Amino acid sequence: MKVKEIMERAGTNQTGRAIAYIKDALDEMNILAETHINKERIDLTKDQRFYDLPQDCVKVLDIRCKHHNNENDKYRSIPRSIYEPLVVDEDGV
Amino acid sequence: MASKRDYAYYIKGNKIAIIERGIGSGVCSLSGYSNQTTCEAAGGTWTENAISNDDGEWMSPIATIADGLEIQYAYSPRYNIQQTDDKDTNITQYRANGGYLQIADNTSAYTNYGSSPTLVAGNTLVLRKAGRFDGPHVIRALGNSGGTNNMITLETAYNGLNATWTNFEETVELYYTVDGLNSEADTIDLPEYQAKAVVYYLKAKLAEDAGDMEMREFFMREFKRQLEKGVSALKRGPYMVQGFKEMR
Repeated sequence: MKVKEIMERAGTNQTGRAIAYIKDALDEMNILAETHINKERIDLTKDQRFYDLPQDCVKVLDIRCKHHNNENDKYRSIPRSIYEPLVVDEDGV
Repeated sequence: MASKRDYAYYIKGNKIAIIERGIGSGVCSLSGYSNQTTCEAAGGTWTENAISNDDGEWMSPIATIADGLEIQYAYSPRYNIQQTDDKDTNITQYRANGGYLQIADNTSAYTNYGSSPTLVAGNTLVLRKAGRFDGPHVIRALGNSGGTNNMITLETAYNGLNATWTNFEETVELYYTVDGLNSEADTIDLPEYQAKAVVYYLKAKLAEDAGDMEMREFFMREFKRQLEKGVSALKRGPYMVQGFKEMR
């Protein structure tokens, strides 16, 4: 559906405001029920604990690591830790 | 054969923290032996990668692993890649310049982004396999870095090292036939049914701006209902329950 058609259905002719709200709607939709998904692979670095989330990420669906509980180079979902570990991070973030 | 590992994560601010359980090099079934040769010579059984007594703590990753972390996420379709074969894979490095992100082909090829492909300031491009920079970006300017127009300055804010170029971890895919959401003629990349939910959202926000909260609540409820109907229509049959290994 085109932006123009959405604007006509909503009864507005203010393009800038409509596009801003449509972008908000797309964000909200992907938080409630993901419509578009992607995956990104990042190198794990020795002694580096913190990694940036992708810029266009609105909702994390799964975190997987290579070799997690397997020796076959497979990616498996890793559990979320409730507490931060006692061993502090060396990279100082 | 790669070693079996044990990871977990937690979120801190806008970053994801990966922690790994410290794993020893191995343990002997007999006490007093710290390597496989002497352990087995004494009649003991050596267990590789067992968690030994003095480690087993959760800590930062113990080893470097290429592509070791995989993040699956939902993103907002604020753009539409019109031709997925219009793709450049020559971008190698990035850096910050004046608070903006710069990317470049700094190999000997020095791709000229002013001619092939023809990128113009103000156009939208999409990066994939670019780690934290995945997603749409608007071109601010083209520039020279060893070659001609081989460097692209983006409107994306980024504070990092200016003097040093950093290599991307993977071969970055740069899609340049992209339609950003910026005019009435643009098409929303959603099925027709879900696009109707956007209409309800827009009506709700317009009602909110007009101060009609009752109308706002009504349209917001319709937005969620439309969304849920669209999602649940794709599901059929009973749910199959599979135990999660970590909970056994």
